[in-house]
Amino acid sequence: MNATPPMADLSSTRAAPVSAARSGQERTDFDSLYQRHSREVWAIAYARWMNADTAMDIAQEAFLRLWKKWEEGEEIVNPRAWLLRVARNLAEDHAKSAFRRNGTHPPATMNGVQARDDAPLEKLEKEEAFAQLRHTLQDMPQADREILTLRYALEYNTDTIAEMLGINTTAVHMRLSRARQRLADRLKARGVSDDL
Amino acid sequence: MNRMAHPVPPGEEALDALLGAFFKAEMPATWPAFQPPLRVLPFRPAAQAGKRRGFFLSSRVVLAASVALLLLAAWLMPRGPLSDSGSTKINPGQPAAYDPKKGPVIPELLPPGLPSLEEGQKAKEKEAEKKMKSSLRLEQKDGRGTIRIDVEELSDK
Repeated sequence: MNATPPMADLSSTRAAPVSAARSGQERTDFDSLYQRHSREVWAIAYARWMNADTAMDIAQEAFLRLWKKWEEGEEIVNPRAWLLRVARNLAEDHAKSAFRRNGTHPPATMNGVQARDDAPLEKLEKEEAFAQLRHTLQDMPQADREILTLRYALEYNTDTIAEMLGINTTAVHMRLSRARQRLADRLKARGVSDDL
Repeated sequence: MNRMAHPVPPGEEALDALLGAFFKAEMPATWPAFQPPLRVLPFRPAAQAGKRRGFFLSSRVVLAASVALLLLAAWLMPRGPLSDSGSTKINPGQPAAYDPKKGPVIPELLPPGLPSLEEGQKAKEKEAEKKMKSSLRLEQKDGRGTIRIDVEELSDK
């Protein structure tokens, strides 16, 4: 489970300054940057909201802002760190605006509502388990959600997570272990499964 | 009630399997390509820009000419103030005279013996035409429109 996807090639992103000098292949460079980091940006936003569409909107907005900086010729030494920071800020801003829109009821309360299609029993059970998992994850600390998202959505290994979050691998192991334990305890408390 | 029959295999791997399946289901199936925002620039071909420049120039000349004509007309208009000292007293209590053919008769505000306002204006216009000679020219130099007004005073002779 320590597979690292090809997009997690960090060696080329650390020192990839976004500078003012642009050639004809600027779009290609930006597309390459997008391919490398868009899933990470999405994962950060998803860990905040547990909503794939909202996370995609936030990721797109983050890259649009980077594109704007790119066009203005502003130099960004570490685009990856810049993108992750902007994604976090955008997710927080979205939280504030969502609170204004929805009051005290988070929009995620509707996430568990499922369509009443005639689905096979296995599918219904799976959807029910996912809904319970989603609710449980939403109640967990954001740091736990973040590390679980990086681990299971992007399938990042501990080294990659450590580099992305700026912590050492031991801390990643510890955080991951604790997050998993907390999640298992909460799922058991909800009665999802005694086997966890 | 929420207890699942056996959604995942038991043990620690069960949690891994559940989380893996959940997050994979959450990840978008097709990842959209980045679409940079389109730049909306005003389209103005060179020929059209030249035409518009000529249009602005001619409109400015027309505007300047209009203002000049207005000023000239205002300057040529007789400016005879009404004399307050010679005004006729109007008694507010007295009913206004009425001519059955012309309607209500408005009393002259000038003392008797002096010409009426219209007559005075005409006389002054004639006098001004006699004494002054003015000309208006529109000139264009180096792409700039100028207005030249020449006013010449004529001798009585």
